[in-house]
Amino acid sequence: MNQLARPLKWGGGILLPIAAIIILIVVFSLLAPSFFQFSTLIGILRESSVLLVVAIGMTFVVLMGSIDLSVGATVTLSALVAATIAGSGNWLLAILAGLGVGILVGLVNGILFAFVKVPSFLTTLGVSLAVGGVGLWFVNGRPVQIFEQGFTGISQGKLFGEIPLIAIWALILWGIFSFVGQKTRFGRYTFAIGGAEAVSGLAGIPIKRMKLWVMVLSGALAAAAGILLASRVGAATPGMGDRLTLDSIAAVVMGGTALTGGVGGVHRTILGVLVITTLTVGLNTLGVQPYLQQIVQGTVVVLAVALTLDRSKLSVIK
Amino acid sequence: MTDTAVGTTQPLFEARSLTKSFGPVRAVKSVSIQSRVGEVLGLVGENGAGKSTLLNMISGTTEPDSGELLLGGQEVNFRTYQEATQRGVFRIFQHQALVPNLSVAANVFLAQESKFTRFGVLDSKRMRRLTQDIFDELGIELRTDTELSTLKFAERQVVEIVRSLAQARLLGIEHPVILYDEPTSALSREQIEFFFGFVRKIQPNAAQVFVSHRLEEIIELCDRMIVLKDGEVVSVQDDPHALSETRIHELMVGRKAEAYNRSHHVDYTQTPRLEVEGLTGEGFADVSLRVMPGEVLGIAGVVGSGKSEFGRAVFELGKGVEGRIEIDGKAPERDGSRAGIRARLGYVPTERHKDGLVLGMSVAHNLSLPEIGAAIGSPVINNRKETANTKKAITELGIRTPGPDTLVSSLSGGNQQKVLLARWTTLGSRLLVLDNPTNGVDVGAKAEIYRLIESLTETGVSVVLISDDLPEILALADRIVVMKDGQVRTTTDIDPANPPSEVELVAAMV
Repeated sequence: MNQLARPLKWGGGILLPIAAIIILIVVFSLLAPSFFQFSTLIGILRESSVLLVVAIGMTFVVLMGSIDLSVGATVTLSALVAATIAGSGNWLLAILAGLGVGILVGLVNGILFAFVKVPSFLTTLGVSLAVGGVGLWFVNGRPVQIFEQGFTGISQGKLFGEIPLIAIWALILWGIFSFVGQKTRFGRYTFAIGGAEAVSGLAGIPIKRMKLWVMVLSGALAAAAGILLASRVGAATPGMGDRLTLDSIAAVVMGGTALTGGVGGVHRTILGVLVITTLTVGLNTLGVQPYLQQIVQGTVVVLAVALTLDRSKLSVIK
Repeated sequence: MTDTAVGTTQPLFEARSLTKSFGPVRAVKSVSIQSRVGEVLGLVGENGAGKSTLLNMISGTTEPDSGELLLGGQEVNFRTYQEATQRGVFRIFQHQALVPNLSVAANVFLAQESKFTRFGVLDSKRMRRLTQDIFDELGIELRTDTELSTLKFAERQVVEIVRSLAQARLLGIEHPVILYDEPTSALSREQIEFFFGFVRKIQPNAAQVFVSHRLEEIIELCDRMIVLKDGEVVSVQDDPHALSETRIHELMVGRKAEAYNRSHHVDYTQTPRLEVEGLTGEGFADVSLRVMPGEVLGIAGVVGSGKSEFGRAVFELGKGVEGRIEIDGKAPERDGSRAGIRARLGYVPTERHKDGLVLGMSVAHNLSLPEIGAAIGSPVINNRKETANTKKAITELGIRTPGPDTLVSSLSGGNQQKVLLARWTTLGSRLLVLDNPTNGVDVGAKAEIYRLIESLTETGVSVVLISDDLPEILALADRIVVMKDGQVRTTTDIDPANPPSEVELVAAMV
């Protein structure tokens, strides 16, 4: 099916994350028999959605050899803005305002990174702090409840009585952007810039413009994730998206996209997302204390990245 | 058959029946070589003949399948490059392994700092003194305390060799073995002379093995020459100075090479493909010239003459550069490489790994890069067309690759260069700016690239050939422009019956 990408992108690179998912499922099923059932699968799908949407945008950034550390804060801010506006009863306006926040953050990131030439990790780290501040100031540090059914229905609705709508949205976005990443000019540009920026410039690729648009895309997808998250929870709280920065980078790397750029792809990121979510859901099923969960998750994420990093290098050298 | 005694000395270094296979490919088949102190041994062969594998086995980076290595008559077995250097076998790479922001002396004793510390404090003075001793012995006029990055490439190369000598001395080794792996490929003509002078100076103290693609260098420098072909020694020559390049080439490929000469036929009454007037930018000033359809305009000049910068400015359609530029009689939109590609210009940069190829991408993706990069065609990539174009180019240009999906980094230099050229033949570019298109390419691929240039010009494609290789320019160009200090010095029409000599060109260059 993915004829062109096969030899380079699928060759062996997906085995490790798949193995990790299988091992996690086996271990959790043995420890907690209630883990192995259909409702857990639905749970994992639902829990994966927000992370998947953030990680899609992050994949493009990382492919280009850059990083976006502001996605967590953007998720939070867009959730807060959308939730506040949803209170007025207009859920469409709430969505648009939420997305607008993400695009604006992306523009600021992109302009600083591409045109002022501040390295992306510094730009987005600074912007992340500012965006977090804006969010707290906007709601005075208080959570926002959402009672508007039209807005909560976006995520909480179900298809065929079983499948959560939030997962459908995430999978649609994943499908679209997998295509964009593998089959379009835009996607190829991110691979080329991450692979060799000087070469890309000489081949006519508009590097600055690309850096700007990829940052905007990452911001917009983080905002979409924020809207989905607020809709699912039925509330927006300060700091609710913070974890997603680390988790999305980890998911991207575990999926086999090299942090150095140029290798990987959106289509693979879903595997990394599933590893992280399976772990979270499994620990919850076991009833592990939240604090202990953090320790386990942090350790596993770093270990998994350490394991997967070498492999992504291999697929370049091979 | 390798046993041809030069002098009466025992070989310092000897390899006996070294063999190495990579999977089904037998890269080196029972090769024996000897290297003596006071001698420069040349190693030649086409790409893939096994030169690099041989050097790798000698210097501990590749383990031989069978065979033995002897150093000073004793059998040795290096498992890593570090072990080899501990015993006095050093390798000088094409790309230098030095630290640019440290001083010359600090680089010379890099990784040997522990021998210069007292109570944890580094004795830089002694480092400089020991370095200065070697510099004095060899008559090198470099300062030991300057920062390495301020030196010229050839001078840095000398520092790297001095490092081998100094470290050998520190280890109490009198005569090191020095292996040079295409050390001159990044050097200009006068830098090569400087470098050769140095190699001769250390000749009495070391056994040296020299690998180069440039046959004239082998002839000039080496006392003995071994020719490798398909992993085997096919010839040992005791006096390379007496051989011609053509003869060595015959030995390498096992057939006679024809001296290349392009037929010239340019119509000077047409509208020029390229016309520039008073073009002034960084590195060049007030350059005026024209290139006709089907013409090869050669640009010669030393490194730093501004010829490369000029070539790039043409490809970028004079973006950010002063002066008039016209393509087919019309002033183009001066908007960089993207506009250049759309105006059917093509460019092959002199450093293909830095500016030419995305090494982590496949042959097909590299080939289509400018087409996609300049947004020619639809936003959705047509994979089928991309693969078909690549297959066509592979056949037409004779690119040796397992297929379009192979990573471009696994191809040989010559084939990588053909991928770069294929970009523009696929796009149907009408003006090619080729900056040293045969840099680091073996003799066979070189001839193929020349034939390609000729067949392209027959269809009306114009070529600006920028090259450090004067025979190449003389063989291909209809007219030759010599640049010096950023300006055009001379313009010479080539009369095929009576071409100018290299000496005349060099006279204008320096």
